[in-house]
Amino acid sequence: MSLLKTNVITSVKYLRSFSVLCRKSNQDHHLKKCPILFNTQRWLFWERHRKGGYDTTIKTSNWEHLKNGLVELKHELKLFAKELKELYDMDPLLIARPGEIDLLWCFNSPTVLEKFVTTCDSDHGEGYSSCNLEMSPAGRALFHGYLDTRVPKDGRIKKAGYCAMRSKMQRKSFKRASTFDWHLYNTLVLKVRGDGRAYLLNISTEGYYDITWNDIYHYILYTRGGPYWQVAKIPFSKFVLGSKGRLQDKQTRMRFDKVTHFGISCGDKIVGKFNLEIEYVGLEFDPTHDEEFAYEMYKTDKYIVAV
Amino acid sequence: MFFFILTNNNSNKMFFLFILFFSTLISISSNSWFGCWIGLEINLLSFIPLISNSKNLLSVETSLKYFLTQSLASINFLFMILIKFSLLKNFDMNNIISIMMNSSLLMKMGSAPFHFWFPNIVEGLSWMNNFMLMTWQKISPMILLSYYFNKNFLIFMIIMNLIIGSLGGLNQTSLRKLLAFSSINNLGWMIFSIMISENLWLFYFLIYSMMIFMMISLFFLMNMYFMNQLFINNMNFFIKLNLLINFLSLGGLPPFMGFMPKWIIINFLLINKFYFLTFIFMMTSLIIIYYYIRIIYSSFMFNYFKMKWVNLLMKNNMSLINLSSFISISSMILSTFIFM
Repeated sequence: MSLLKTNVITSVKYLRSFSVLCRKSNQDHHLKKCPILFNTQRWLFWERHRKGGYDTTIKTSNWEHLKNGLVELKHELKLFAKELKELYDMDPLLIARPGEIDLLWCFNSPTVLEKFVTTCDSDHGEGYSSCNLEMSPAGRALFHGYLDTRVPKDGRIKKAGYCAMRSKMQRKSFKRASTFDWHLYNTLVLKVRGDGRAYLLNISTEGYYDITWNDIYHYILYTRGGPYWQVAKIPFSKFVLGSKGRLQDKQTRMRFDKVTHFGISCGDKIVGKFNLEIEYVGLEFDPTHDEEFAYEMYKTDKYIVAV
Repeated sequence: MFFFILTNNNSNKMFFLFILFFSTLISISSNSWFGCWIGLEINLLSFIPLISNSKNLLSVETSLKYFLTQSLASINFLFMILIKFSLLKNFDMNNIISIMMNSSLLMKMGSAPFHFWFPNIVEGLSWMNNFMLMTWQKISPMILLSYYFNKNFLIFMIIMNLIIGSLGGLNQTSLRKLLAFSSINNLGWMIFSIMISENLWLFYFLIYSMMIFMMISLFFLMNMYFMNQLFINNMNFFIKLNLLINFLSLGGLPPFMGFMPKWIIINFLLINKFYFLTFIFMMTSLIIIYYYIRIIYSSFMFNYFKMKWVNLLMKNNMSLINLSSFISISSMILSTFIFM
């Protein structure tokens, strides 16, 4: 539930800070929106910010913070009471019956849409695409927009054109960060109605350390363009590991116990409109699927690094 | 563990295992506190390569977390030793320095209130590594604890261990975390036994290690990490029976093996009039047996799918299971023939 007033971000700030050990090269400094530019080569793996340096904070005064906090307090106390009751019941979900789809999100009302955030490259001046997540005329969620691969001429960006929607971070009471626990399941089920384009399903498992903050497991979902809905059942073993969009040499299986986000993105380099209608996203346990991981890792000699 | 290492062509792990065993011996047989600290550090350094497996992101994270917590405890321990050398020249055990030293050793063991890393890390390790963590890694901190302990502080810690170990395991679905909380509870019993006598602690520890070994080898052979796998798999009757016997033995129910060490400790408690402590020991054991029985009856009664192609072929490995069931049932009675 978003009880905060959302302010429109009028000014865009760049706070991408890099380590001292980075090399700087000559840059153009006459651009309006970007006063500080570094086109650098990173020498460390360390990530300072969880969100990659993009400043997404909404500026509110302390008084407004206090007022919003008091409004949210009642809601948080109710959540806390619910958690205590669950703890007292001591009845966790022990089994997922096969053939049953446990829905994570069923997009039949606008309130579910608030659990998602949409991003595209134009948010921070890195492109010209646009996207939106709203209810379709058929009463389901519609993720639509316009994908534009034109690169803005600021000398820094080489590629452009992405639009994504991602679930917000799971929160326990009092805004404590929590994760999904999908150890009972082994298949992701989506009922979608696409437009023939290929979309990327992203499951993010941010771990504890900054090295894995950008680890996202991808799967390409090819949609049919027709008026009929398609039910896509994707086992978790088929997801491929990528970090910051780059597929890793050393592939490992997804961890199911601490999944942080689920998202869908469109970045197939085709300029034009895209529409993806989603009815539900759910999980299933398929006992016939016993594959642990679909991608073989061959045993290499010890002098081959990073594999 | 050896068999597993040999079959997996991991001879370098054998090297680290040897150093692990040696480091514990260094720690407990040194005649200086500094030597004890050295043993603990070597223990940490040799355990990390055993648990880190660069093919799996989760195990990398786990080994890093283990390293951070254990090194923090080691630093604390070293600092307290040095303060003790420089400031305190007496042998009095009831002072703040002994509390601090005991705290750092309790953190090494994963005892409450420093237990928060323990279920987290146990969740990320394989079964054999868990076995090492739950049994061998407890030896040297325990013995070092017995050299310089603060009685009142330790009794308070024992109570916390018992309560947290019993209440923490109630809402768990992961078998590893369940055994982690059970281990925390058993730490309470073990700390009390080491306050009584080292022989008694050794007896408790050996029996606990045997019980944990039987449980873990069963889960390892069936590749089970979560409770739903207990209900899904089509286990044959003897495996289920073994599960029942071993879980109840771990909970301390007579006539199984696990009751024997607890019986002796309760005997001591009552003779020395520790009535309140006895009450807490009993009640927390009851809670633990409750959640063990909850698992066992579910695995006996519920069998959701009888799929014909999922067939646990355990014919080659049944000997280990049958032997462990036999030991758990009969060892208490057989020991009376030998010792009484």
